[in-house]
Amino acid sequence: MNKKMKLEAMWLVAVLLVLGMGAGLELYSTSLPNFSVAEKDTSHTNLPTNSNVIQVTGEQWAWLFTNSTGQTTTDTFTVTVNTTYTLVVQSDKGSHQFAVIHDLYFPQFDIQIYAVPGQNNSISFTPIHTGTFVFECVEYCGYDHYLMRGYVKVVA
Amino acid sequence: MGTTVLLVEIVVIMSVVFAILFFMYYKYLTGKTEADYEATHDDYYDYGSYLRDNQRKGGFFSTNNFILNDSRSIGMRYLMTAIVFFFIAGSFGLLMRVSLIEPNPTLFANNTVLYDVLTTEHSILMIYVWAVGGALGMAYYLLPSFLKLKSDKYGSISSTAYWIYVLGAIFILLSRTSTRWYFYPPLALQLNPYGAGAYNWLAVIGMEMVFIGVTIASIITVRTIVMDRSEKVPLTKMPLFAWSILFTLLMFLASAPFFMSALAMLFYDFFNPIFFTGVGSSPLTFAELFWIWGHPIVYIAIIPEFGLIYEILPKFTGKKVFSYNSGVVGLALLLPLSELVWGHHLINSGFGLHWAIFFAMTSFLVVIPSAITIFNYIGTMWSSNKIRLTTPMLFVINGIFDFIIGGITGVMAAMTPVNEQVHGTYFVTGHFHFVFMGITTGILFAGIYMLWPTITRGRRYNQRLATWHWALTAIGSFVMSMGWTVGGFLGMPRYVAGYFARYQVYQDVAIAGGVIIAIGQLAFLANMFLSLSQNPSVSTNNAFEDAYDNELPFDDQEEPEGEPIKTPAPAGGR
Amino acid sequence: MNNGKSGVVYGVVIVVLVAASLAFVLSAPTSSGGGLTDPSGIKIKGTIDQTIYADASGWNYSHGPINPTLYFPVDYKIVFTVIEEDNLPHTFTINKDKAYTPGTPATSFENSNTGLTLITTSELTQVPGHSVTKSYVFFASGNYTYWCEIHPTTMDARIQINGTAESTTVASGIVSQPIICCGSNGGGHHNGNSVLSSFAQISSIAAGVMKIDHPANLAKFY
Repeated sequence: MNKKMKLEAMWLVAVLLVLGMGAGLELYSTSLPNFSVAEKDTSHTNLPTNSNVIQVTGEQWAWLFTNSTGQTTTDTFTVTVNTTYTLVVQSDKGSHQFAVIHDLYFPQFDIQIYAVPGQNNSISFTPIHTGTFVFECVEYCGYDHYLMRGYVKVVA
Repeated sequence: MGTTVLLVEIVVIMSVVFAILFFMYYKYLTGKTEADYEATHDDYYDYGSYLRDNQRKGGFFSTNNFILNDSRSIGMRYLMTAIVFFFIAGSFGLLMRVSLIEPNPTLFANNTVLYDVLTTEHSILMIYVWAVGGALGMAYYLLPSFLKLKSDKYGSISSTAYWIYVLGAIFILLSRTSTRWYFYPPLALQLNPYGAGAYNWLAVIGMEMVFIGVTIASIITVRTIVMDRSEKVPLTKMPLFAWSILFTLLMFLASAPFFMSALAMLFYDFFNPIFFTGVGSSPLTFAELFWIWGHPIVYIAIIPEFGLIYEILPKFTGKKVFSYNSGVVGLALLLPLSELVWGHHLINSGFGLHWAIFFAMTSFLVVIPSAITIFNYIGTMWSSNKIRLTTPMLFVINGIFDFIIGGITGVMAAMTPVNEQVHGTYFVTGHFHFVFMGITTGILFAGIYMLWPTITRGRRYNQRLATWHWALTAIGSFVMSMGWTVGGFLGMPRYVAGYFARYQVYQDVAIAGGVIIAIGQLAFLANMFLSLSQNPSVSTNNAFEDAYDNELPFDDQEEPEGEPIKTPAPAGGR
Repeated sequence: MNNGKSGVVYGVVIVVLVAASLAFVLSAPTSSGGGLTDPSGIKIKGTIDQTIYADASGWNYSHGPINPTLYFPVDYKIVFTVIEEDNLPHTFTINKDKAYTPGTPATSFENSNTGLTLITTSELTQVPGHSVTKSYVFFASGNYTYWCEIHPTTMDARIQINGTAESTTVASGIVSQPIICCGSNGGGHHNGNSVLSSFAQISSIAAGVMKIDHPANLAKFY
C-alpha cells in the first residue's frame, strides 16, 4: 500500500464516519416522541380518539380547517398551546374540474404534509408557544398558489 | 379569415420549408460526395471520420455544423443550441427574479401566471437543453479525439436525433406551460390559464421528443465509447471524461424510460383521464415515476462536468489527476446510488416513516462517490507546484467550492426531520443552484473557454472580460443561492409569485445575486463579439484535444513516477 | 461563411432569439385580474345583475314564477346572486344545451361532467338568507341549463343567450380555441383573508369572476 492508497483510504474512512454520524442523527431524531411525519391513513385506523383531530381540505386556492365541533374556517384556525393535534389532510376539487396536489407547510412547527386527491394523510404536532404562526402551500397548484397561505393562532 | 387565404398561407410556408430542406439536402449531398471521394483517397474508414479530422479547424459558428454529419459538427450544434437556450432561459430567470422584489406581485400584478410560466420554462430549458445538451455537445465534440475513434458512421442518425431534440425544446418553449418541470398530473391536465397552461399537451409532446432525441444520441455515444475506440486507448486508460459520459448516458438510459412512459400515459390522460386521475388511481403514481427519473437527471447534469474538471485540472496544475482509479470508481458509484434515492423528494406525501428513513439512508450513501471525486480534485491541486489561475481554472475552483456547499445542503435536505422543514422551500432551490451554477454552468463555460481558439477559428478571448464573467457569475450565484438557502431554512416557499413580507430581505438578496449573474453573462456575450471582430491570431488547436494528440509535444505533463511509459498516456491516465 | 466573422451573426441570433422568446412567453394567455378579458382580447360589454332564490322545491319558489327562464345578451358579465331560502345544500350549476328542442324537459341536458358548478355546496352554507355572488360571461349565444346538482328534478331551468350576428362570429372564434377558462376563485374562501393585513389581496379576483366559452369542450379535455 503506497502513500496515495493510504490517503485515499483515509478520506474514505472519514467520509464514512461522517455518514455514520448523519445516519445516527437521522435515527435518533425520527425516534423522538414528538417527531411526526406524514402518514397515509385513508381508513382512519390510526387516528387518536380524542377531539383534537382537525380535518383539513386543500382546494384551489384555499385551506379549509374543520375542527371536532364541525366548525369550518378558511385559511386560519386556532389551537390551544401544549395540546397535541392531529391534522387529517385531503384535497378537494372545490369548484374546479380536478382536485390537485397541495402541500401544507408550517415552517415554525417543522411539519409539512401533502394533500393528495383520494388519500387522507395525517400528521401530529404540539404547539409549545402562544402566538400567531404562518402556514403556506408549497406544492405548486395553479394560478393563485401563492395565496394559499394563512395564519394559525396558538392561544393559552 | 377565409379558407383561401389559409390555404395560400399553408402553401407558401410549406414551399419555403421545402426549399430550405432541399437546399440543406443539396449542401449535405455535395459535401458528402466530396468527402466520400476524399475519404477513399486518404484511406479513411468512412467519410465521417474524414470530415471529423479535417473539419477540426472548422469553427463554432459555421453553418456547416448544421449540414455536415460528423461528430464534431454535431457536437458544435448541441453546444450552439445549448448556449442560445441558456441565454433565453436565463433571461426568463432574471425577469421572474426581478418580479419578486416586493412581497406582493409587482411586475405581474394582475397576471401572476406569467411568473409560473417563466419559472417552468426556465427550469425545463436549463435542465434539458443547457445541462443535458451542453454535456452531449462536449461528448460529441471531444470524444473522437479523446478515444481516437476508428469510424464515425452514425452521423445521420445522430443528426436526426438532434433535430428531434431541438424541435422538442422549441415545442416546450411554444407551449408556455406552467406545470413546473415535473408535470404533476391533476394540475397538468387543467388546460387553462388558471391551471397549468392552455397548451400543456404540446409541452408533453416536446418533452417526449427531447427524450427520444437524447435517447438515440445516448445509445450512439455509448456504442461509440464501447466499440469504436482505437486499440491505442484501452478501457483502463480511457480519459476520465469518456468514463463520465459513459456513466451519465447509461444512467440516462436506465432511468429515462420511467418518465417517458409516464409522459405517454399523461398524454393519453388529456383525452381520456384513466391513468392518474381516474377512480382508484393516485396522482402520486406519476410523482413516483417522475422522481425515479428526476433524481438521476440531477446527476446527469453534473457527472459530465465532473469529467471535464478531470480534463481541465492537469492542464493548469501541471500534475496528473491524483488517482485515476478512484476517479472512475467515484463516477461509477453514482450510477447505482442515484437510482436508489428518488423517494427523498416525496417524504411528506404520506409515504410514512419507514420509507422516509430508507431513502434518507440511501441519500447519505451518495455522499461517498461525491466526496471521493471532490477529494480527488483537491488532491490534484494539493500536489501541484504552481496552479495557473486562468479563467477555466477559476471556474473549476469556484465549482468545487460551490459543490461542497451544494452537496452538504443536499444531504441535509434528505434527512427526514430537516426535509419536513425545507421541502418545497427555497432551501432546495438554493441547494441545486449552488450545484447547477457552480458545476454545470461554470464547468461548461470553462470548457467553452478551453475550446475558444477552435470555435472562434484562432482568436483569443479577452482575458479581462473573461475574468469579469467568472467573478460576476461566481459572486452572483453565491449571493443568490445563499439568500435562498438561508431564507428557505426559515420557511420561504418556492415557486410563489408573492410571499410573506417577513421573507423580503432574503428575496431581495437573491435578486441582487441574480442581477449580478445576468451582468456577468453580458460580459460573456461581449467577449464573443469582441473576440470575433478581431483577426485570427493564434493556432486553432485547443488544449483539450492537444492533450491526447500523439503528434504534439506533451509539454504540460510531467513524467509520472515509476517506469516511463512509451507513448504519452492520456491526461489522467496511469 | 468561412471567414469566421459569421460568429457575430450568431451573437445577434442569440440576442434576437432571447428578445423574441421573452416577448412570446410574456404574451401567454392569462386570465387576469377578474378575468374580464379573454385570451383573444374581447372585452365584455357590460354587467347585468341577476338574483335567484334557491329553494329545494324550485328556483324562485316563493318569488314569482318557479324555475324562470333567464334571458341575457351575449358578451355580458352576469353577476348571479343566489339567496338561500331553506337549510338544504344546493349548487348552482350551468351547462350548454347542444340540441335544444322546445318541449323537452330541461333535465335531459343536465350533465355534471360537462357542466360548470358556479357555486358549490360548501359556499352555500345552508343558512336561510345567506347569499353568494358569482359572475359568468356567456360568449356564445344559445340555450343553457342551470340546475342544482342536489335537487335536479325540481331546481332546473333554462338560460337563453341572444347574440347579434356580429357577436356570434366572435363567439365561434373563441370556441375554436382550446383555452378553456374556468378559474373560479372561491370568493367566499378568500374573504377570510381580509383580516390579515399582510396578505396580498386582489380584490377583483375575490369577486370570483369566471367564464367558460364552450362547456362541451370540458368533457373532451378533462
